[in-house]
Amino acid sequence: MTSSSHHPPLAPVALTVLTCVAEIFSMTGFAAYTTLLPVLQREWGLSNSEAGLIGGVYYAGYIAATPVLTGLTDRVDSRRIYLGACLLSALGAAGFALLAEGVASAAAFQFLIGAGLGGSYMPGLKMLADQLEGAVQSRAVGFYTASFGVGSTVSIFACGWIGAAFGWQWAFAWGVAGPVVAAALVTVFMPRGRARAGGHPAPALLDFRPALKNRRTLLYVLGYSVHNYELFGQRSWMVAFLAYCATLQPPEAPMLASAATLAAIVNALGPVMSVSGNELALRFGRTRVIFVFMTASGLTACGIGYTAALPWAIVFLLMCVHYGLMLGDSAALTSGAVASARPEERGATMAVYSFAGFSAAFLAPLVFGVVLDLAGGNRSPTAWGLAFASIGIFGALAPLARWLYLRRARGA
Amino acid sequence: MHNGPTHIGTPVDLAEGIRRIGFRRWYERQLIESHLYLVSCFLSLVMVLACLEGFSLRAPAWEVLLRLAAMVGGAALGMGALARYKAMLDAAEYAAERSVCGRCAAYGILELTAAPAPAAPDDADPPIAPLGVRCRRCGHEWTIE
Repeated sequence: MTSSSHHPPLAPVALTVLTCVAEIFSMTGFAAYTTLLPVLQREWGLSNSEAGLIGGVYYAGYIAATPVLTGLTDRVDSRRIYLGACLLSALGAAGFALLAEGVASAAAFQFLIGAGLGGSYMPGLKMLADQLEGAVQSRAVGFYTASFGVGSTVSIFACGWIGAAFGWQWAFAWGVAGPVVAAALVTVFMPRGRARAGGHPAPALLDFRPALKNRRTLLYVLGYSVHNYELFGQRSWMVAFLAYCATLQPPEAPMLASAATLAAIVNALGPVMSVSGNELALRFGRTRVIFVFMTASGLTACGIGYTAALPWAIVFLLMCVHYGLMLGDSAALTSGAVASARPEERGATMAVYSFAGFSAAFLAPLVFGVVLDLAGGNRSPTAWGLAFASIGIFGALAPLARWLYLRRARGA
Repeated sequence: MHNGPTHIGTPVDLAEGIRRIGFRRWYERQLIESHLYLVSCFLSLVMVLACLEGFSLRAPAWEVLLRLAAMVGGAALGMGALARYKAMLDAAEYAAERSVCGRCAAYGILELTAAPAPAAPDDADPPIAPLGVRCRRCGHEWTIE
């Protein structure tokens, strides 16, 4: 592998800031559809199923693009993939703004926007990681991971505001502008990344065998899947749970803020905890910190659903604690996966990592909903308890998994 | 003439693939095609979930039937796509693991030596049937089986 540059080398801090800012801009269209869904449903007369279909196709775009585009970064400079993905996002958002008028067209453009995210998030991470090494790399990856949360929050707020002020088409126009800015930033400032040296045959596209044979990486992939399973299950149902909690409060002591506002405050903890967890991992050891956060978070999730009837301030505090614990291992897992991958297999590794994590993230809200329904519905405290336990159980069992793994490793 | 099974990932395809485009490109195409099946499976799942979300027995009969048909169709399509994905991936990985030359360790630089051989009677149904190959670098011959 070789690394060369047409641009002057950037300091690690500048490089990290550049990549994070580009990532936030590339995600401007991320939440456009979900934020504007009520408007679009009304304007197009969409049923809930049709609305869900359009939303789901976004993830199909992501799953279609991630393994291919992230895997390609082992062959091609990550910047090129990133630029192509930004173009996809911009095209999708432009198409949505100008041409979408119903289920089929909206779904097609959502697919493109999802594919754009799939081709920018992990390739962006690789673009950054390829330029750095050691603790600096780990720290930069931590900030980059946290910037995803910032990007999604910015997208929700900006799309909501622009949509309300100027109409939904302009919110998607914002979704066009962001990726264009991100692409311009990367083109102008980002140094050239690693390129495969001549004489080293490129592996087949989507050939993830070398990455899957790396046992250290596989542990991070597994950990990330558990992390995402709990995180996305919680995120999807947090507002509904807090809304249920509000109905259980006595009339003389109602919730002082809406469930959505409280959930937004909880979400805001994410980036801070993600970066802090990574710093703790650098200080006390990555594996130890990951297991502590994962176990504590899983155990908290197993109990939090039963607390709905407690005073709302306590429930809110517990939600904050749980969310913080859950995000504590996020960046540490990703930086661990990056560090454990051989540089020439980093793209393939990140493709497997993202693909597995995303699959878990997609399943979790469904499982949560099924458990909630089967256990008595959203008016039953026990059902909420079991539903939360369904997403926390894997984290709670992490120490057992680790013990089994170590025992097997010692025996081998 | 194709005497064996005709679906993708079979020995006939592997033999033809090696002959026409070489093992490495055959392998890559198998992976890409299998990925498309996986995406199809995912899209089918999205369709099933979308239909399920709005399902209600209180809706008009035609709508209930339409939703049921879409769910059953989507589930069948998804399961078919998933089965195909798995079969193609299994066959590709099976062949790839056996395509490293035992003498010079070159990977995937193959040419055919013979038509697909019949499978051994005690064979536990491998994803592909035995296929004679030769390393184009050192001439070493072996059977992918």
